[in-house]
Amino acid sequence: MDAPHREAVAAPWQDASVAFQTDWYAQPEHGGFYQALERGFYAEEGLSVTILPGGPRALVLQRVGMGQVPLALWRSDDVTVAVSRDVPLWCLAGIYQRSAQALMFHAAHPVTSAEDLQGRVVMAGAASVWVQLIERRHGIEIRRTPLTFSIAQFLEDPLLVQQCMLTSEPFLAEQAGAAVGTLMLDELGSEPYHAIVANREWLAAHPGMAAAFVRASIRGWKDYLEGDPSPAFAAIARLNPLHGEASMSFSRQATIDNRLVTGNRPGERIGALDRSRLEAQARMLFELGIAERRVGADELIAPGFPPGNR
Amino acid sequence: MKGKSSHHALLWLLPLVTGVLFLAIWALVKMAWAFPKFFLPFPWEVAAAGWEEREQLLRAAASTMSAAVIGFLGAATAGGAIAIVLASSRWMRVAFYPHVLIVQMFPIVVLAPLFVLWFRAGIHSVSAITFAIGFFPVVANATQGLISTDRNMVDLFHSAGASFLQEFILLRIPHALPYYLTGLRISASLAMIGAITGELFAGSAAGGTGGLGFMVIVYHSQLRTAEVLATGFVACLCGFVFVGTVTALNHFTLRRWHESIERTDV
Repeated sequence: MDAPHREAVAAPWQDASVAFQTDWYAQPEHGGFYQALERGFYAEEGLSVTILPGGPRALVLQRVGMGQVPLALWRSDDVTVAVSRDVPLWCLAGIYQRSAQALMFHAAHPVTSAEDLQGRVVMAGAASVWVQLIERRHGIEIRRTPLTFSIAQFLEDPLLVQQCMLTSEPFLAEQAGAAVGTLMLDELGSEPYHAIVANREWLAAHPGMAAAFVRASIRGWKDYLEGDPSPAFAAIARLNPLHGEASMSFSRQATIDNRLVTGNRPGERIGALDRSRLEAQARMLFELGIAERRVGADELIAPGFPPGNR
Repeated sequence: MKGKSSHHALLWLLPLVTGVLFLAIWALVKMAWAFPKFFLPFPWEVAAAGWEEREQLLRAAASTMSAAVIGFLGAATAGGAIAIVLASSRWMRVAFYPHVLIVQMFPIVVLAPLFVLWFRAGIHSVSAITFAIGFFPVVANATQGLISTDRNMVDLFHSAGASFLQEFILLRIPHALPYYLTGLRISASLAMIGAITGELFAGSAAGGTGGLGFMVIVYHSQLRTAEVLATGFVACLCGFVFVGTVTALNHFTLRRWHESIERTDV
Protein backbone atom coordinates (compact mmCIF):
# COMPACT_ATOMS: atom_id res chain seq x y z
CA MET A 1 0.00 0.00 0.00
CA ASP A 2 1.30 3.44 -0.82
CA ALA A 3 2.45 5.47 2.16
CA PRO A 4 0.98 8.98 2.11
CA HIS A 5 3.23 12.00 1.47
CA ARG A 6 6.17 9.98 0.20
CA GLU A 7 9.38 11.89 -0.29
CA ALA A 8 9.59 13.36 -3.78
CA VAL A 9 11.60 11.18 -6.17
CA ALA A 10 14.72 12.59 -7.77
CA ALA A 11 13.54 14.93 -10.52
CA PRO A 12 15.10 17.40 -12.97
CA TRP A 13 13.96 20.42 -10.95
CA GLN A 14 15.92 21.89 -8.05
CA ASP A 15 13.08 22.87 -5.78
CA ALA A 16 10.24 20.36 -5.95
CA SER A 17 7.83 22.33 -3.74
CA VAL A 18 4.64 23.64 -5.31
CA ALA A 19 1.75 25.42 -3.62
CA PHE A 20 -1.74 24.90 -5.02
CA GLN A 21 -4.43 27.29 -3.89
CA THR A 22 -7.96 25.94 -4.01
CA ASP A 23 -11.10 28.01 -4.28
CA TRP A 24 -12.66 27.18 -0.92
CA TYR A 25 -12.13 25.44 2.40
CA ALA A 26 -11.19 21.78 2.03
CA GLN A 27 -14.19 20.00 0.58
CA PRO A 28 -15.02 16.85 -1.40
CA GLU A 29 -15.32 19.07 -4.49
CA HIS A 30 -11.51 19.18 -4.34
CA GLY A 31 -11.37 15.42 -3.82
CA GLY A 32 -9.16 14.50 -6.77
CA PHE A 33 -6.38 16.80 -5.62
CA TYR A 34 -6.37 15.43 -2.07
CA GLN A 35 -6.48 11.93 -3.51
CA ALA A 36 -3.41 12.66 -5.63
CA LEU A 37 -1.65 14.06 -2.57
CA GLU A 38 -2.57 11.23 -0.21
CA ARG A 39 -1.83 8.45 -2.72
CA GLY A 40 1.54 9.90 -3.55
CA PHE A 41 0.84 10.70 -7.23
CA TYR A 42 2.46 14.11 -6.93
CA ALA A 43 5.46 12.57 -5.17
CA GLU A 44 5.79 10.02 -7.98
CA GLU A 45 6.09 12.93 -10.41
CA GLY A 46 8.80 14.43 -8.24
CA LEU A 47 6.65 17.16 -6.74
CA SER A 48 6.18 18.19 -3.13
CA VAL A 49 2.72 19.74 -3.22
CA THR A 50 1.04 21.84 -0.55
CA ILE A 51 -2.70 22.33 -1.00
CA LEU A 52 -3.80 25.69 0.40
CA PRO A 53 -7.49 25.93 1.20
CA GLY A 54 -9.23 29.10 0.11
CA GLY A 55 -12.08 30.94 1.74
CA PRO A 56 -14.59 33.74 1.31
CA ARG A 57 -12.11 36.63 1.30
CA ALA A 58 -9.09 34.94 -0.26
CA LEU A 59 -8.17 37.00 -3.29
CA VAL A 60 -6.99 33.99 -5.22
CA LEU A 61 -6.56 35.41 -8.72
CA GLN A 62 -4.73 38.44 -7.31
CA ARG A 63 -2.33 36.14 -5.49
CA VAL A 64 -1.67 34.01 -8.55
CA GLY A 65 -1.38 37.12 -10.71
CA MET A 66 1.33 38.49 -8.44
CA GLY A 67 3.09 35.14 -8.29
CA GLN A 68 2.53 34.78 -4.55
CA VAL A 69 1.20 31.33 -5.32
CA PRO A 70 1.98 29.57 -8.61
CA LEU A 71 -1.13 27.45 -9.12
CA ALA A 72 -4.77 27.62 -8.19
CA LEU A 73 -8.19 26.18 -8.92
CA TRP A 74 -10.55 28.82 -10.24
CA ARG A 75 -13.41 29.46 -12.65
CA SER A 76 -12.46 30.18 -16.23
CA ASP A 77 -14.94 33.07 -16.55
CA ASP A 78 -13.22 35.01 -13.77
CA VAL A 79 -9.86 34.14 -15.34
CA THR A 80 -11.13 35.51 -18.66
CA VAL A 81 -12.12 38.78 -17.00
CA ALA A 82 -8.72 38.94 -15.29
CA VAL A 83 -6.81 38.21 -18.51
CA SER A 84 -8.82 40.95 -20.23
CA ARG A 85 -7.30 43.25 -17.60
CA ASP A 86 -3.79 41.98 -18.41
CA VAL A 87 -3.43 39.85 -15.29
CA PRO A 88 -0.74 37.26 -16.19
CA LEU A 89 -2.65 33.99 -15.90
CA TRP A 90 -2.89 30.79 -17.91
CA CYS A 91 -5.43 27.98 -17.78
CA LEU A 92 -3.66 24.63 -17.79
CA ALA A 93 -6.49 22.10 -17.60
CA GLY A 94 -10.25 22.00 -17.10
CA ILE A 95 -10.90 19.83 -14.06
CA TYR A 96 -14.65 20.40 -13.93
CA GLN A 97 -16.03 20.15 -17.44
CA ARG A 98 -19.33 21.22 -15.99
CA SER A 99 -19.49 23.61 -13.02
CA ALA A 100 -21.35 22.33 -10.00
CA GLN A 101 -22.78 25.80 -9.43
CA ALA A 102 -26.54 25.74 -9.40
CA LEU A 103 -29.56 27.49 -7.99
CA MET A 104 -31.49 25.71 -5.28
CA PHE A 105 -35.18 26.38 -4.76
CA HIS A 106 -38.04 24.90 -2.83
CA ALA A 107 -39.93 22.37 -4.94
CA ALA A 108 -43.17 24.27 -4.38
CA HIS A 109 -41.77 27.40 -6.09
CA PRO A 110 -39.61 26.11 -8.92
CA VAL A 111 -37.23 28.02 -11.13
CA THR A 112 -36.88 26.50 -14.58
CA SER A 113 -35.64 29.43 -16.61
CA ALA A 114 -33.99 32.83 -16.27
CA GLU A 115 -37.38 34.53 -16.58
CA ASP A 116 -38.52 32.71 -13.41
CA LEU A 117 -35.78 34.59 -11.56
CA GLN A 118 -37.19 38.01 -12.37
CA GLY A 119 -38.13 39.64 -9.08
CA ARG A 120 -37.19 36.61 -7.00
CA VAL A 121 -34.80 37.12 -4.10
CA VAL A 122 -31.62 35.20 -4.88
CA MET A 123 -28.92 34.56 -2.33
CA ALA A 124 -25.73 34.97 -4.35
CA GLY A 125 -22.17 35.90 -3.64
CA ALA A 126 -21.34 39.53 -4.33
CA ALA A 127 -18.23 38.46 -6.18
CA SER A 128 -20.05 36.22 -8.64
CA VAL A 129 -19.64 37.14 -12.27
CA TRP A 130 -22.47 34.79 -13.17
CA VAL A 131 -25.14 37.06 -11.66
CA GLN A 132 -24.20 39.97 -13.92
CA LEU A 133 -23.82 37.61 -16.85
CA ILE A 134 -27.29 36.14 -16.45
CA GLU A 135 -28.92 39.48 -15.65
CA ARG A 136 -27.51 41.16 -18.73
CA ARG A 137 -27.91 38.20 -21.04
CA HIS A 138 -31.57 37.69 -20.23
CA GLY A 139 -32.44 41.30 -19.43
CA ILE A 140 -33.72 40.48 -15.97
CA GLU A 141 -33.08 41.99 -12.57
CA ILE A 142 -32.23 39.69 -9.71
CA ARG A 143 -32.90 40.81 -6.15
CA ARG A 144 -29.64 39.74 -4.66
CA THR A 145 -29.14 39.06 -0.97
CA PRO A 146 -25.74 38.15 0.41
CA LEU A 147 -24.54 34.58 0.64
CA THR A 148 -24.37 33.51 4.26
CA PHE A 149 -22.86 30.09 3.49
CA SER A 150 -25.64 28.44 5.46
CA ILE A 151 -29.07 27.21 4.50
CA ALA A 152 -30.78 28.63 7.59
CA GLN A 153 -32.47 31.45 5.73
CA PHE A 154 -33.34 29.18 2.81
CA LEU A 155 -35.10 26.75 5.09
CA GLU A 156 -37.23 29.52 6.55
CA ASP A 157 -38.18 31.25 3.31
CA PRO A 158 -40.05 29.14 0.71
CA LEU A 159 -39.55 31.70 -2.04
CA LEU A 160 -35.81 32.16 -1.60
CA VAL A 161 -33.49 30.91 -4.32
CA GLN A 162 -29.98 30.15 -3.16
CA GLN A 163 -26.76 29.84 -5.11
CA CYS A 164 -25.33 26.46 -4.25
CA MET A 165 -23.06 23.67 -5.32
CA LEU A 166 -25.12 20.81 -6.73
CA THR A 167 -22.94 18.48 -4.71
CA SER A 168 -23.57 20.07 -1.36
CA GLU A 169 -26.44 22.30 -0.25
CA PRO A 170 -29.33 20.24 -1.72
CA PHE A 171 -28.13 17.30 0.37
CA LEU A 172 -28.06 19.45 3.52
CA ALA A 173 -31.50 20.89 2.74
CA GLU A 174 -33.04 17.47 2.20
CA GLN A 175 -31.46 16.25 5.42
CA ALA A 176 -33.20 19.17 7.13
CA GLY A 177 -36.49 17.99 5.66
CA ALA A 178 -36.98 20.40 2.76
CA ALA A 179 -38.07 19.28 -0.70
CA VAL A 180 -35.79 21.08 -3.11
CA GLY A 181 -35.01 21.29 -6.79
CA THR A 182 -31.99 22.65 -8.61
CA LEU A 183 -31.25 24.51 -11.82
CA MET A 184 -27.71 24.29 -13.11
CA LEU A 185 -26.18 27.64 -13.98
CA ASP A 186 -24.91 26.30 -17.28
CA GLU A 187 -28.53 26.00 -18.38
CA LEU A 188 -28.74 29.78 -17.94
CA GLY A 189 -25.67 30.44 -20.03
CA SER A 190 -22.92 30.47 -17.44
CA GLU A 191 -20.58 27.67 -18.54
CA PRO A 192 -17.18 28.14 -17.00
CA TYR A 193 -14.64 25.43 -16.42
CA HIS A 194 -13.19 25.04 -12.98
CA ALA A 195 -9.62 24.99 -14.14
CA ILE A 196 -6.08 24.70 -12.91
CA VAL A 197 -4.73 28.24 -13.28
CA ALA A 198 -1.06 29.20 -13.32
CA ASN A 199 1.00 32.35 -13.02
CA ARG A 200 2.55 33.02 -16.43
CA GLU A 201 6.03 33.82 -15.23
CA TRP A 202 6.12 30.72 -13.06
CA LEU A 203 4.89 28.55 -15.90
CA ALA A 204 7.55 29.90 -18.25
CA ALA A 205 10.19 29.01 -15.67
CA HIS A 206 8.74 25.62 -14.68
CA PRO A 207 6.88 24.06 -17.60
CA GLY A 208 7.88 20.55 -16.60
CA MET A 209 6.63 20.94 -13.05
CA ALA A 210 3.35 22.36 -14.31
CA ALA A 211 2.82 19.45 -16.67
CA ALA A 212 3.69 17.01 -13.91
CA PHE A 213 1.21 18.68 -11.57
CA VAL A 214 -1.56 18.50 -14.16
CA ARG A 215 -0.82 14.83 -14.96
CA ALA A 216 -0.81 13.83 -11.31
CA SER A 217 -3.97 15.84 -10.60
CA ILE A 218 -5.88 14.20 -13.44
CA ARG A 219 -4.67 10.83 -12.20
CA GLY A 220 -5.85 11.76 -8.71
CA TRP A 221 -9.28 12.72 -10.01
CA LYS A 222 -9.66 9.46 -11.94
CA ASP A 223 -8.68 7.51 -8.85
CA TYR A 224 -10.99 9.57 -6.64
CA LEU A 225 -14.00 9.04 -8.91
CA GLU A 226 -13.39 5.45 -10.01
CA GLY A 227 -11.51 3.97 -7.09
CA ASP A 228 -11.58 4.17 -3.33
CA PRO A 229 -11.91 7.79 -2.20
CA SER A 230 -11.12 7.20 1.46
CA PRO A 231 -7.62 8.73 1.35
CA ALA A 232 -9.10 11.97 0.05
CA PHE A 233 -12.00 11.82 2.49
CA ALA A 234 -9.61 11.34 5.39
CA ALA A 235 -7.51 14.34 4.34
CA ILE A 236 -10.55 16.57 3.86
CA ALA A 237 -12.13 15.54 7.16
CA ARG A 238 -8.85 16.33 8.93
CA LEU A 239 -8.76 19.83 7.45
CA ASN A 240 -12.46 20.61 7.62
CA PRO A 241 -14.49 19.03 10.42
CA LEU A 242 -17.71 20.15 8.72
CA HIS A 243 -17.46 17.21 6.35
CA GLY A 244 -18.55 13.76 7.37
CA GLU A 245 -18.77 10.50 5.47
CA ALA A 246 -22.36 11.13 4.38
CA SER A 247 -21.87 14.59 2.91
CA MET A 248 -18.63 13.61 1.18
CA SER A 249 -20.12 10.45 -0.32
CA PHE A 250 -23.11 12.42 -1.57
CA SER A 251 -20.85 15.01 -3.15
CA ARG A 252 -18.72 12.39 -4.91
CA GLN A 253 -21.75 10.50 -6.16
CA ALA A 254 -23.42 13.68 -7.43
CA THR A 255 -20.19 14.55 -9.24
CA ILE A 256 -20.16 11.11 -10.86
CA ASP A 257 -23.88 10.98 -11.70
CA ASN A 258 -23.90 14.44 -13.29
CA ARG A 259 -20.56 13.83 -15.04
CA LEU A 260 -19.31 17.17 -13.71
CA VAL A 261 -15.62 16.32 -13.91
CA THR A 262 -15.64 13.85 -16.78
CA GLY A 263 -18.08 15.80 -18.93
CA ASN A 264 -21.11 14.57 -20.83
CA ARG A 265 -20.60 16.11 -24.25
CA PRO A 266 -18.51 14.66 -27.10
CA GLY A 267 -14.83 15.47 -26.74
CA GLU A 268 -15.05 16.17 -23.02
CA ARG A 269 -12.81 14.38 -20.57
CA ILE A 270 -11.02 15.30 -17.34
CA GLY A 271 -8.59 18.10 -18.01
CA ALA A 272 -9.84 19.11 -21.45
CA LEU A 273 -10.19 22.78 -22.41
CA ASP A 274 -12.25 23.41 -25.50
CA ARG A 275 -11.10 26.46 -27.44
CA SER A 276 -14.44 27.35 -29.00
CA ARG A 277 -16.22 27.08 -25.67
CA LEU A 278 -13.72 29.40 -23.98
CA GLU A 279 -13.94 31.85 -26.87
CA ALA A 280 -17.73 31.84 -26.82
CA GLN A 281 -17.69 32.61 -23.09
CA ALA A 282 -15.06 35.32 -23.61
CA ARG A 283 -17.13 36.91 -26.36
CA MET A 284 -20.23 36.89 -24.16
CA LEU A 285 -18.35 38.40 -21.23
CA PHE A 286 -17.03 41.18 -23.46
CA GLU A 287 -20.39 41.90 -25.12
CA LEU A 288 -22.04 42.09 -21.71
CA GLY A 289 -19.48 44.63 -20.57
CA ILE A 290 -17.96 42.41 -17.90
CA ALA A 291 -14.62 41.70 -19.57
CA GLU A 292 -12.55 44.65 -20.70
CA ARG A 293 -11.91 43.27 -24.17
CA ARG A 294 -12.44 40.14 -26.21
CA VAL A 295 -9.98 37.50 -25.10
CA GLY A 296 -8.90 34.74 -27.47
CA ALA A 297 -8.33 31.11 -26.58
CA ASP A 298 -4.61 31.60 -27.21
CA GLU A 299 -4.55 34.08 -24.36
CA LEU A 300 -6.30 31.68 -22.01
CA ILE A 301 -4.87 28.23 -22.70
CA ALA A 302 -1.18 27.87 -21.97
CA PRO A 303 0.81 26.65 -24.99
CA GLY A 304 1.28 22.90 -24.74
CA PHE A 305 -1.60 22.50 -22.31
CA PRO A 306 -3.67 20.58 -21.42
CA PRO A 307 -1.37 17.63 -21.97
CA GLY A 308 -2.70 15.80 -24.98
CA ASN A 309 -4.89 18.68 -26.24
CA ARG A 310 -4.82 19.62 -29.89
CA MET B 1 -0.99 93.21 7.43
CA LYS B 2 0.97 91.05 5.05
CA GLY B 3 1.67 88.40 7.69
CA LYS B 4 -2.01 87.48 8.11
CA SER B 5 -2.82 86.83 4.44
CA SER B 6 0.31 84.77 3.86
CA HIS B 7 -0.54 82.81 7.01
CA HIS B 8 -3.97 82.19 5.48
CA ALA B 9 -2.45 81.09 2.16
CA LEU B 10 -0.18 78.62 3.94
CA LEU B 11 -3.22 76.94 5.48
CA TRP B 12 -4.13 75.76 1.98
CA LEU B 13 -0.74 75.60 0.36
CA LEU B 14 1.09 73.37 2.82
CA PRO B 15 -1.34 70.44 2.77
CA LEU B 16 -1.57 70.75 -1.01
CA VAL B 17 2.19 70.50 -1.34
CA THR B 18 2.46 67.50 0.97
CA GLY B 19 -0.47 65.91 -0.89
CA VAL B 20 1.26 66.26 -4.24
CA LEU B 21 4.45 64.92 -2.65
CA PHE B 22 2.59 61.87 -1.41
CA LEU B 23 1.09 61.23 -4.84
CA ALA B 24 4.53 61.57 -6.41
CA ILE B 25 5.98 59.00 -3.98
CA TRP B 26 3.08 56.67 -4.80
CA ALA B 27 3.79 56.96 -8.52
CA LEU B 28 7.54 56.49 -8.02
CA VAL B 29 7.05 53.39 -5.87
CA LYS B 30 4.78 51.92 -8.52
CA MET B 31 7.30 52.60 -11.26
CA ALA B 32 10.30 51.45 -9.22
CA TRP B 33 8.75 48.06 -8.45
CA ALA B 34 6.89 47.87 -11.77
CA PHE B 35 3.69 46.81 -10.02
CA PRO B 36 0.93 45.78 -12.40
CA LYS B 37 -2.29 47.77 -12.51
CA PHE B 38 -4.34 45.17 -10.67
CA PHE B 39 -1.87 45.26 -7.75
CA LEU B 40 -1.22 49.00 -7.48
CA PRO B 41 -2.57 51.48 -10.03
CA PHE B 42 -1.25 55.01 -10.58
CA PRO B 43 -3.04 57.81 -8.72
CA TRP B 44 -4.46 59.14 -11.98
CA GLU B 45 -5.72 55.68 -12.88
CA VAL B 46 -7.64 55.70 -9.60
CA ALA B 47 -9.09 59.11 -10.43
CA ALA B 48 -10.02 57.95 -13.94
CA ALA B 49 -11.64 54.81 -12.58
CA GLY B 50 -13.61 56.88 -10.08
CA TRP B 51 -14.78 59.19 -12.84
CA GLU B 52 -15.79 56.31 -15.12
CA GLU B 53 -17.76 54.69 -12.32
CA ARG B 54 -19.19 57.93 -10.92
CA GLU B 55 -22.80 56.96 -11.49
CA GLN B 56 -22.41 53.61 -9.71
CA LEU B 57 -20.33 55.16 -6.94
CA LEU B 58 -22.77 58.00 -6.32
CA ARG B 59 -25.67 55.61 -6.01
CA ALA B 60 -23.61 53.34 -3.76
CA ALA B 61 -22.51 56.30 -1.64
CA ALA B 62 -26.13 57.40 -1.22
CA SER B 63 -27.03 53.92 -0.05
CA THR B 64 -24.12 53.75 2.39
CA MET B 65 -24.74 57.29 3.68
CA SER B 66 -28.41 56.46 4.36
CA ALA B 67 -27.44 53.48 6.45
CA ALA B 68 -24.73 55.53 8.19
CA VAL B 69 -27.20 58.32 9.03
CA ILE B 70 -29.80 55.91 10.38
CA GLY B 71 -27.23 54.04 12.45
CA PHE B 72 -25.72 57.29 13.70
CA LEU B 73 -29.08 58.78 14.69
CA GLY B 74 -29.83 55.55 16.53
CA ALA B 75 -26.51 55.79 18.33
CA ALA B 76 -27.13 59.45 19.13
CA THR B 77 -30.58 58.88 20.63
CA ALA B 78 -30.16 55.46 22.24
CA GLY B 79 -26.65 56.38 23.35
CA GLY B 80 -27.92 59.54 25.00
CA ALA B 81 -30.80 57.69 26.63
CA ILE B 82 -28.49 54.98 27.98
CA ALA B 83 -26.18 57.71 29.32
CA ILE B 84 -29.06 59.37 31.17
CA VAL B 85 -30.00 56.03 32.74
CA LEU B 86 -26.39 55.37 33.74
CA ALA B 87 -25.93 58.88 35.13
CA SER B 88 -29.08 58.83 37.23
CA SER B 89 -27.48 56.93 40.09
CA ARG B 90 -24.28 55.23 41.06
CA TRP B 91 -26.10 51.91 41.44
CA MET B 92 -27.46 52.20 37.90
CA ARG B 93 -23.90 52.53 36.68
CA VAL B 94 -22.78 49.59 38.79
CA ALA B 95 -25.69 47.53 37.50
CA PHE B 96 -25.53 48.38 33.81
CA TYR B 97 -22.15 49.76 32.79
CA PRO B 98 -20.40 46.35 32.74
CA HIS B 99 -23.03 45.13 30.28
CA VAL B 100 -22.57 48.18 28.11
CA LEU B 101 -18.88 47.30 28.03
CA ILE B 102 -19.65 43.69 27.10
CA VAL B 103 -21.77 44.79 24.16
CA GLN B 104 -18.97 47.13 23.13
CA MET B 105 -16.37 44.36 23.36
CA PHE B 106 -18.44 41.75 21.50
CA PRO B 107 -16.66 41.41 18.15
CA ILE B 108 -18.53 43.08 15.35
CA VAL B 109 -17.40 40.41 12.91
CA VAL B 110 -19.34 37.89 15.01
CA LEU B 111 -22.31 40.18 15.56
CA ALA B 112 -22.75 41.23 11.93
CA PRO B 113 -23.50 37.80 10.44
CA LEU B 114 -25.82 37.14 13.38
CA PHE B 115 -27.74 40.32 12.55
CA VAL B 116 -28.03 39.09 8.97
CA LEU B 117 -29.35 35.76 10.20
CA TRP B 118 -31.92 37.31 12.55
CA PHE B 119 -32.97 40.42 10.63
CA ARG B 120 -32.11 39.46 7.04
CA ALA B 121 -29.87 41.51 4.80
CA GLY B 122 -30.67 45.05 3.84
CA ILE B 123 -30.35 48.62 5.04
CA HIS B 124 -31.87 47.82 8.43
CA SER B 125 -29.13 45.32 9.21
CA VAL B 126 -26.44 47.62 7.89
CA SER B 127 -27.84 50.40 10.11
CA ALA B 128 -27.94 48.04 13.09
CA ILE B 129 -24.29 47.19 12.56
CA THR B 130 -23.44 50.92 12.23
CA PHE B 131 -25.29 51.53 15.49
CA ALA B 132 -23.39 48.74 17.23
CA ILE B 133 -20.07 50.26 16.16
CA GLY B 134 -21.01 53.84 17.01
CA PHE B 135 -23.05 53.82 20.20
CA PHE B 136 -20.31 53.37 22.76
CA PRO B 137 -18.45 56.70 22.29
CA VAL B 138 -21.77 58.48 22.76
CA VAL B 139 -22.61 56.54 25.91
CA ALA B 140 -19.14 56.87 27.42
CA ASN B 141 -18.74 60.58 26.73
CA ALA B 142 -22.30 61.59 27.62
CA THR B 143 -22.23 59.63 30.86
CA GLN B 144 -18.94 61.26 31.79
CA GLY B 145 -20.45 64.66 31.07
CA LEU B 146 -23.54 63.99 33.13
CA ILE B 147 -21.65 62.84 36.21
CA SER B 148 -18.84 65.41 36.12
CA THR B 149 -20.90 68.51 36.71
CA ASP B 150 -19.04 71.18 38.68
CA ARG B 151 -19.46 70.31 42.38
CA ASN B 152 -20.02 73.95 43.29
CA MET B 153 -22.93 74.23 40.89
CA VAL B 154 -24.47 71.02 42.19
CA ASP B 155 -24.19 72.31 45.77
CA LEU B 156 -25.75 75.62 44.67
CA PHE B 157 -28.70 73.79 43.19
CA HIS B 158 -29.09 71.67 46.32
CA SER B 159 -28.95 74.67 48.64
CA ALA B 160 -31.60 76.37 46.46
CA GLY B 161 -33.84 73.35 47.03
CA ALA B 162 -33.84 71.99 43.50
CA SER B 163 -35.45 68.57 42.94
CA PHE B 164 -33.50 65.69 41.36
CA LEU B 165 -35.33 66.25 38.08
CA GLN B 166 -34.71 70.00 38.13
CA GLU B 167 -31.00 69.44 38.83
CA PHE B 168 -30.82 66.89 36.02
CA ILE B 169 -32.61 68.89 33.38
CA LEU B 170 -31.43 72.40 34.26
CA LEU B 171 -27.86 71.66 35.29
CA ARG B 172 -26.50 68.26 34.35
CA ILE B 173 -27.83 67.96 30.83
CA PRO B 174 -26.75 71.42 29.67
CA HIS B 175 -23.35 70.84 31.29
CA ALA B 176 -23.02 67.49 29.58
CA LEU B 177 -23.78 68.89 26.14
CA PRO B 178 -20.15 69.47 25.07
CA TYR B 179 -19.26 65.95 26.21
CA TYR B 180 -22.23 64.49 24.37
CA LEU B 181 -21.30 66.38 21.23
CA THR B 182 -17.73 65.10 21.48
CA GLY B 183 -19.17 61.61 21.63
CA LEU B 184 -21.28 62.38 18.57
CA ARG B 185 -18.23 63.59 16.67
CA ILE B 186 -16.39 60.34 17.41
CA SER B 187 -19.46 58.31 16.54
CA ALA B 188 -19.85 60.22 13.27
CA SER B 189 -16.31 59.36 12.26
CA LEU B 190 -17.13 55.70 12.88
CA ALA B 191 -20.48 55.81 11.09
CA MET B 192 -19.11 55.41 7.56
CA ILE B 193 -16.73 52.63 8.64
CA GLY B 194 -19.63 50.99 10.41
CA ALA B 195 -21.90 51.20 7.39
CA ILE B 196 -19.28 49.87 4.99
CA THR B 197 -18.38 47.03 7.37
CA GLY B 198 -22.06 46.28 7.67
CA GLU B 199 -22.35 46.15 3.91
CA LEU B 200 -19.56 43.62 3.64
CA PHE B 201 -21.81 41.28 5.61
CA ALA B 202 -25.32 42.49 5.01
CA GLY B 203 -25.15 44.45 1.80
CA SER B 204 -27.75 43.32 -0.62
CA ALA B 205 -28.19 44.63 -4.11
CA ALA B 206 -31.92 44.32 -4.33
CA GLY B 207 -32.52 46.47 -7.37
CA GLY B 208 -29.66 48.83 -6.60
CA THR B 209 -25.91 48.92 -6.27
CA GLY B 210 -25.86 47.85 -2.65
CA GLY B 211 -23.57 50.45 -1.21
CA LEU B 212 -19.82 51.11 -1.19
CA GLY B 213 -18.91 47.99 0.80
CA PHE B 214 -20.76 45.83 -1.71
CA MET B 215 -19.01 47.56 -4.62
CA VAL B 216 -15.62 46.80 -3.05
CA ILE B 217 -16.34 43.07 -3.16
CA VAL B 218 -17.56 43.24 -6.76
CA TYR B 219 -14.55 45.26 -7.91
CA HIS B 220 -12.10 42.97 -6.12
CA SER B 221 -13.62 39.94 -7.79
CA GLN B 222 -12.94 41.52 -11.17
CA LEU B 223 -9.43 42.61 -10.14
CA ARG B 224 -10.40 46.25 -10.64
CA THR B 225 -8.07 47.56 -7.97
CA ALA B 226 -8.20 51.15 -9.27
CA GLU B 227 -11.97 51.07 -8.75
CA VAL B 228 -11.50 49.64 -5.26
CA LEU B 229 -9.23 52.55 -4.31
CA ALA B 230 -11.61 55.04 -5.91
CA THR B 231 -14.42 53.58 -3.81
CA GLY B 232 -12.25 54.02 -0.73
CA PHE B 233 -11.67 57.68 -1.53
CA VAL B 234 -15.38 58.25 -2.12
CA ALA B 235 -16.03 56.70 1.30
CA CYS B 236 -13.38 59.01 2.71
CA LEU B 237 -15.15 62.02 1.24
CA CYS B 238 -18.50 60.88 2.61
CA GLY B 239 -16.86 60.49 6.00
CA PHE B 240 -15.60 64.08 5.91
CA VAL B 241 -19.03 65.36 4.93
CA PHE B 242 -20.58 63.37 7.75
CA VAL B 243 -18.17 64.50 10.46
CA GLY B 244 -18.22 68.05 9.10
CA THR B 245 -21.98 68.19 9.47
CA VAL B 246 -21.86 66.94 13.03
CA THR B 247 -19.02 69.34 13.90
CA ALA B 248 -21.04 72.24 12.47
CA LEU B 249 -23.96 71.16 14.62
CA ASN B 250 -21.53 71.06 17.55
CA HIS B 251 -20.40 74.67 17.02
CA PHE B 252 -23.92 75.94 16.43
CA THR B 253 -25.27 74.34 19.58
CA LEU B 254 -22.40 75.29 21.83
CA ARG B 255 -22.32 78.88 20.65
CA ARG B 256 -25.90 79.34 21.69
CA TRP B 257 -25.73 77.65 25.08
CA HIS B 258 -22.21 77.55 26.37
CA GLU B 259 -20.27 80.74 25.82
CA SER B 260 -19.25 80.53 29.45
CA ILE B 261 -18.17 76.90 29.47
CA GLU B 262 -16.50 76.57 26.08
CA ARG B 263 -12.89 77.61 26.54
CA THR B 264 -11.41 79.82 23.86
CA ASP B 265 -7.83 79.87 25.07
CA VAL B 266 -6.94 76.36 23.86
